Amino acid sequence: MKNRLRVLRAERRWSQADLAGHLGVSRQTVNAVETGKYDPSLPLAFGFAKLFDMRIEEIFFPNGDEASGA
Amino acid sequence: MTDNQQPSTTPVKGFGWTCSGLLTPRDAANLRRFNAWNIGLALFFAGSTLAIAADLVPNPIGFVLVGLTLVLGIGAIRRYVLFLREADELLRKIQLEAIAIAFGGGIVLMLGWGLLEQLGLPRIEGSLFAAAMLIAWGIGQAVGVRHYAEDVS
Repeated sequence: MKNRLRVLRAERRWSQADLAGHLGVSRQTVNAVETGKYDPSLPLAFGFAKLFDMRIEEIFFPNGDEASGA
Repeated sequence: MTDNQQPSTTPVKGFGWTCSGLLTPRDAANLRRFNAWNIGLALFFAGSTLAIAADLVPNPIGFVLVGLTLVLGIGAIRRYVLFLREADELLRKIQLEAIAIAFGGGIVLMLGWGLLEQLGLPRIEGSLFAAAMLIAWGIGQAVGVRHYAEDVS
């Protein structure tokens, strides 16, 4: 699954540690989600969505379906 | 949602050699408790083994020692399950994969060695398989950490 986390985080000038702190997870978890190595749990995905005030499908999208989430 | 949990995400160093970078303070505290149970179990197991093997204790006390060893073992398992339940979700995934490698590796090793014994290789103590599973658990954690290692961004 791909995502726009790096862009969204950069827009807010947050580090991975900042984002992790908001969500109560480790920085490595944020990194693994950002790089697509790890798909977050549903609660964590909702956490991202709430934090960025977006819908989950606006942040995460299936591989090769990047346009639909933007 | 994790709003009400709010653990700090500052990595804690010095615990769980392979996963230390993934530990939040809450994970580190849970791991410390798990390690304390493990140390207690190891010491009690070693003491009980020596006492029973050297005939230092009469039979009824020997059974009590065995019972207490089992209680410590169950306590350690309970602590590990609690650690997993509260762990950072990537850490939990890495631990799950490591357990799969350890458990599966142990079974495969036992089955494979059982066949090799029939071909004439020496018999191996069951406790050595347990040790091999523990080593495989550690290797599995290292593999998991490497697999999910962060890209420099």
